[in-house]
Amino acid sequence: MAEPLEARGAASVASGQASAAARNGAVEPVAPDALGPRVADTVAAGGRFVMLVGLDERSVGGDGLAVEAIAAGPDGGLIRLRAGLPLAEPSYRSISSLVPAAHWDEREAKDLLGIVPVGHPDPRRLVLHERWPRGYHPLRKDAAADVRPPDAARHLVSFEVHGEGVYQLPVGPIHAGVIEPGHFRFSAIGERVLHLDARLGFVHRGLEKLVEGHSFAGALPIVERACGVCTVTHALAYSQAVETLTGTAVPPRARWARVLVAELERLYNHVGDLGNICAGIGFQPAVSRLGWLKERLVRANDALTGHRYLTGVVAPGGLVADLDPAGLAALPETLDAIGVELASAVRSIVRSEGVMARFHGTGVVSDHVAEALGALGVAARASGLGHDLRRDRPYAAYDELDVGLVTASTGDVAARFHVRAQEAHESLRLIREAVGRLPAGPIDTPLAAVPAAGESALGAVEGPRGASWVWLRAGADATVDRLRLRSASFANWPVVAAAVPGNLVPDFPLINKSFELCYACSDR
Amino acid sequence: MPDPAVFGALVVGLVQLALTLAVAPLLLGITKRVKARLQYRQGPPLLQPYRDLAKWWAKQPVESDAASPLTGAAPAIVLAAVVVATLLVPIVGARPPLAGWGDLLVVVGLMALARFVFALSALDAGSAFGGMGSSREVAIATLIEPALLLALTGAALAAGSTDLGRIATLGVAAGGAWYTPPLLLAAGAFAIVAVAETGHEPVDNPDTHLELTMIHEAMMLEASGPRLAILMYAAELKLVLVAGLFAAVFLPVGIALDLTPLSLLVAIAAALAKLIGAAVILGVLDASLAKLRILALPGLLATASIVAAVGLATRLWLPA
Repeated sequence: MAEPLEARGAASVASGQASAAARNGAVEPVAPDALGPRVADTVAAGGRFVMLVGLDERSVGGDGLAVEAIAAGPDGGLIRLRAGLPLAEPSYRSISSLVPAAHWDEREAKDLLGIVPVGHPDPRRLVLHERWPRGYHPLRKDAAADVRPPDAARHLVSFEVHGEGVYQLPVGPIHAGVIEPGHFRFSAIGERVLHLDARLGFVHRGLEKLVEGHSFAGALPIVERACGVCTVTHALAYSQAVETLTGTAVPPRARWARVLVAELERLYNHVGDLGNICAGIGFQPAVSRLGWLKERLVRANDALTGHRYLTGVVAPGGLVADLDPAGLAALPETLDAIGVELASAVRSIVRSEGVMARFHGTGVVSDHVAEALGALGVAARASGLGHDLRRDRPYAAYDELDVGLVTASTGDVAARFHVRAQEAHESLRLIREAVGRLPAGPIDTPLAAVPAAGESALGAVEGPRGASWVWLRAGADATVDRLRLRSASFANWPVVAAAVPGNLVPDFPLINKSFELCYACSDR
Repeated sequence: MPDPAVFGALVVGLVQLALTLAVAPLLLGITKRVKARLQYRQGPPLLQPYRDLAKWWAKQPVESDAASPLTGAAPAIVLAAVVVATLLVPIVGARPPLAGWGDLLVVVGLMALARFVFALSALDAGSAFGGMGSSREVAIATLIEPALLLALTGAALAAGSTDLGRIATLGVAAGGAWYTPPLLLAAGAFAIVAVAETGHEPVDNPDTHLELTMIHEAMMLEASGPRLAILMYAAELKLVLVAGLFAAVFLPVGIALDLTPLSLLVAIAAALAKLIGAAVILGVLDASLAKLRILALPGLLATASIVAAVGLATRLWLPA
């Protein structure tokens, strides 16, 4: 088998602790119709689209709505473009027609704030489905949070392909297994998929509305629980945003412990996901072995932090509680054993011809498509894009670590499998290093200052599925005025839909599991 | 006092009927248990399939608005076809319970009938999954049936008859001499077909929750209540039928040629051992293989056909 991988450890970005303002970028007011061209120029110059945030300015002294587009420049610096929009007619020229990565962001802002992207290629609803009343935009400050949609079932508007021999295969939102809800509409001819329309939003809980008005500390448990398997990622991204807003410097022990738990989260996710990929083709020996490995990892998490899925560890200012000394002492030995077992399990999968025949050439995402759609994390690196926030925009103690970048070029299921396997070993190495370098000292510090109402900041963490961003604006007295969590899953779902056409219908579970995205943290 | 021969045949027939009907769910339980143990899982109790059947039997069926009367009738037709086919196979005694009513061609025909009606009923609900499962099942069936017939023809040529009772009788009498190279090739072909026919890995995953990969399960998705119980039971009995057919033709050792109590007991024990052996093998396959890409299935089943055809050619053209 050809080895499609290059694992290279490049020098870490030795930027040190960049100043908060530089990390955050300054907000630049622009005309509504200039957003698209400006973002497109940044992308064309080698930058990336990061996120779009819809805003209701009335809570911070404004009189209308606004939309902020954020892009990362070629040098990694953030470009934040904000356009004010009149309440009567909040519209701007769509970014998506120029930068497809903004596709879902714009649809979400349209649902939640009624901000209309004129000329959007797919103006359907995203999170508030068709049965929600028209004109209800929950993230507007004058909208009640307790509105429920009428029970009347209304069909989702699906994109369908019609023609001789083409049939529609509707799958979900309720599935035969215990998995999260999503509606997948396949247009297929024979067993060959022509088009896949993925509709999510079935577990939209309005978390971003819910956190508004909470104190920084009070919003944390909600943000952290957006999803059960990305808890460190989201808690850390949120904590970073709060710390930037308040000018808080986290003590060294907490910075290193954050690396430790963030890598533990990546590790148990990657190990579990490697097993899930095998479940997609019913290869039970690997499912069992990797399932047991994942169980050992979450037990180690439990011993270390008191929670199997690492909830309630990270908080603004540092950590909630110090790591358990016994759990910490046992960790290196556990990880050594797991490293050996993981290598052996992966070897047995790679040596199984029947398995690799299913992996190779299935669900290919070209580097061009991955870049255009803004793929993140494993999905991007398996298609040859070298994006990794731990290197590109180091946080916690990653600026003192040399994180090896793992990429593959083929963009298929095999590539995503290999990238995960290699990254799991890199995580093992980083955890050992973090355990060894974990300094003594305090684990947290009080937030340094109360930010002015209307101040905003970003936090970003390279989670197991890629970069998750938190955009946070302070209200009065250290409360949350507006928060947007853009998880890596949110960014990657359109990539899944693009990976499927041309493949066989029964290959979809395999392709889907090679991305293994969350629904909950995408829907929020 | 009736004629002892008729009486004996009646007893053997009833024993086979009772044995096959009673043991069918147990085999599924064994397969699941073996699979679970190989995955370091405890697995469901061996008798769980019986409880499932009882549970479904007591439930109210839900029917699609699009369904025609066929949906109601299909489970009975499928089960009847499988039961009758099982009664044509010598599993306990060398004279099958319905000896004289049909040969191996009738058995294959009844299996095709069951499949046809089942596929129709899956289409009947008008849901996409039923149609998808039916289309896959029928596409695979067009490859299974030639391989099945070729493999069985190899055995029929060895016995000079398509009568399964006669094939089994000659097989038992011949002992080790029964296993000529052509017969072994036919047995190999039949074994591949048997895995496909009963819906196990690497062809189909009987336990999958991934709707899009299902074949047999997709056809059952719309069935509920007693209809689900009957279709599930028919699927369980089909394993008895396929394993029994394999055993009668390719592993006839132990089948009772006479009606003494001893040979009958040996025959029952042998039949049980063969059926349980088949269930264990399927469990091991399920636990150790990945599913083939669906477009690779024709290759696998074509291999079975070719192996069977080579077996036939060997018998026809090489000196005995």
